Amino acid sequence: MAAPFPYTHYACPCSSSSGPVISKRASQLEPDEDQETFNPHDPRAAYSLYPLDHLLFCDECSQIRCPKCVNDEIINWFCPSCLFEVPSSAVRSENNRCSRNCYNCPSCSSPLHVTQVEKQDDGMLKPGDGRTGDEAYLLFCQYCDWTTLDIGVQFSRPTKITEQLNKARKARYTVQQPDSEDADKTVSKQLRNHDDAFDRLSVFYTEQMDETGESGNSWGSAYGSPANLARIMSLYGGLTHGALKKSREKPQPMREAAGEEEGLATYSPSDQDMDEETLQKMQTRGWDETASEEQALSTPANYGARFKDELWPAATTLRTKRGKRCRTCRQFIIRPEPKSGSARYRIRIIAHNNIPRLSLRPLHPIGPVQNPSFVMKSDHAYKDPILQPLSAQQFVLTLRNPIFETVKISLATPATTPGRVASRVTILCPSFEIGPAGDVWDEALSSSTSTIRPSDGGRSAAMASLTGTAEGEKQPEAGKIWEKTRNSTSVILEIVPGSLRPTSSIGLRDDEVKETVEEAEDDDVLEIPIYVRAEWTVDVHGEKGGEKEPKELGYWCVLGVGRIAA
Amino acid sequence: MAARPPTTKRTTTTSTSLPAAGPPCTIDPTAVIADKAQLTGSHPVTIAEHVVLHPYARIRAEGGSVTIGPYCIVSEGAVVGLPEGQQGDVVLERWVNVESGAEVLAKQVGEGTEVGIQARIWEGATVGRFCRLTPTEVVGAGEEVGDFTVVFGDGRRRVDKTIVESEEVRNARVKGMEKQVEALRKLVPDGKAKWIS
Ligand SMILES: [Zn+2]
Ligand SMILES: [Zn+2]
Ligand SMILES: [Zn+2]
Ligand SMILES: [Zn+2]
Repeated sequence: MAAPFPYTHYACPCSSSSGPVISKRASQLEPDEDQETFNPHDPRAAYSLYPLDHLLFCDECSQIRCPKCVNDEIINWFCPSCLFEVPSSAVRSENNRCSRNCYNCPSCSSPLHVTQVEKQDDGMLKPGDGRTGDEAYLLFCQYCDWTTLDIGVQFSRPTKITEQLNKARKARYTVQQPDSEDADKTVSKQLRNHDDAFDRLSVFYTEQMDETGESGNSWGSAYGSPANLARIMSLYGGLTHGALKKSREKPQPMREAAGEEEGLATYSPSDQDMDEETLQKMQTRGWDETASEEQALSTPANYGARFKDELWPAATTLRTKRGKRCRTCRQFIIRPEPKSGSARYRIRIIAHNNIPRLSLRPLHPIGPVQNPSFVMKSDHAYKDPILQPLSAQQFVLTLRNPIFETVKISLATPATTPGRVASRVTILCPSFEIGPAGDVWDEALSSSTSTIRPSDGGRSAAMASLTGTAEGEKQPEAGKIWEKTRNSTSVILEIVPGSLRPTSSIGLRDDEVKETVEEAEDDDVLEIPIYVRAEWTVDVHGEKGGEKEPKELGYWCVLGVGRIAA
Repeated sequence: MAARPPTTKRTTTTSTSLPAAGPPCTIDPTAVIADKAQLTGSHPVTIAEHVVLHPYARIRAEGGSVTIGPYCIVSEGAVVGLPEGQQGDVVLERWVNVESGAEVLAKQVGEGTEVGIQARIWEGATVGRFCRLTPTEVVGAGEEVGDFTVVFGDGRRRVDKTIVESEEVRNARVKGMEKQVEALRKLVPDGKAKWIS
């Protein structure tokens, strides 16, 4: 586990072996009755355990929802550069790219800026430079200094860049005399241009569709019509007899593109000259001038590009805003505001605000509590806490209630942890209540008073040793709550870590022992599965004193305590 | 090419009153040397006209002489020159912009070159004219970077064709440098007096 000890991971019910059917009546489950104990050492466990912050919550189903049991839904498309929101109907025709003035550098992919080329007016310009004082514009990369001059393109206006760029590209790749004897070559040269080839193919197949009577009138709906669907299904077999017969009756099957006029580019021996030319160019220009795969794939216009000076700026790809729906009830759990400039959410139900959070700390901490996030120097590197086997240790388990109702909690844990190393675990007080959460101000006040409590382990111990009296030091007691603040309750957990070596292996030689340890990686990690059941009541119509509706929630979590010493 | 730990620690304390502590200097009267800029070592330092040294810029003539050409800017935290224990001279031609935190140990840096923030050019390297090192890029010891090269994206290099072909763009860059120097002249109070003995 990558997380530092002690950690708590929460299990999403979706991946439990009992499946989603059970998750509906999870509230009635008794962990030790009809549901198997969650085994954190099971190889599958890693797929269902998450830190609390990664989990969502469906209030309709009253269940935890992990990234696997929500469906993403695209709310809208927008350009990250100009923040223009693109209507979903236009996304496809614009190739998922911004069609305004947003372009990315083909060399390094950072955004390009439109800049004006300054004409010198102080005589530094070469005399005889015939160009007048018209302003010219460029797309300019502020990071790697690439400009459209690298491909020999300048713009006459700072707006409508896409239009001007397309025009420049057309001028470059359309050969002037299509009626010359070299017409074949012109076409094949044009086909190198990806867009051109696509257009020709598109026209050809649309015509084919019309001829064969397929109703699909555009690419988008080609597979949408029932007739087409039936034809495709028949290709793969598995159709009713009637449908099969009908499809055979079709007079003429659709033809595929056959020539260059129709958009099919085939290899011909005359291409060899061009290949030679390319090879020659590669040899003389070297690796640095050759376009990388990444650069060639940046935009369809670059698909055929071999050299860096053939790379065209790539229109910025659109981004999406996505909402997340519960897979079971289709309710939105997360729904961002559709406006592209806003980072707010309309709906955002996260587990953090809906299920009690468990946290563990040693009752008698040895040394200062380490937080790996605050370790500054490498010599103070975080070390996993080491647990001595077969000696009882006490931990404080704190549950914090995020909801505004008093919650009744019952905890259940197997007496011995599952896995190869069996540790004994006892919760001294398995059922208790946690007070409701209040507003932030209340919480701040109450938590500040709670830190002064003498029950704070390290502090009270220090006090006791200073004053020489053990007065005021609490003793953990079965059935008693250890500590309680307004919305959190702590209980004592007693753990006797199991021994890593089976008793029989004590006599073994060193290397043999090593072997057994190696084959059981991470078996020395002490993880305790705990089933938490929370019960509370809510006002049915949101009014106080009215009818009350009981609510229940049950979930497994795993407490990572530390590593057992070998 | 591999990044090396910096060979010396940068010191931020300056002696404000002792003119004798510095290296032998030839400083053009039009240069601007901020009061907090440092000139260290014992080898000769030549600073040409219209140079701006920002506060906490450091000219380190410890391993050899340092020559800074006209209209160069050395920013805060940048170091030019070789440290104690290494030997060699460092020459910046005109219009070289050394950005904050950059370190230039190169034999020579060509005119119009920009050394980006925290970029490093190690000893013995030569960098051509109108090059650009984007922030944090590194040119290894003894390497040669040709004219008009852009070093970016973890060591990738490309020749900036725009600037090769267009004198206008080059002029624009030079003009930008000169304008920047003019602006800085008003902003950075000059303290070169203490280095001239
Ligand atoms: Zn799930
Ligand atoms: Zn845009
Ligand atoms: Zn770029
Ligand atoms: Zn749901």
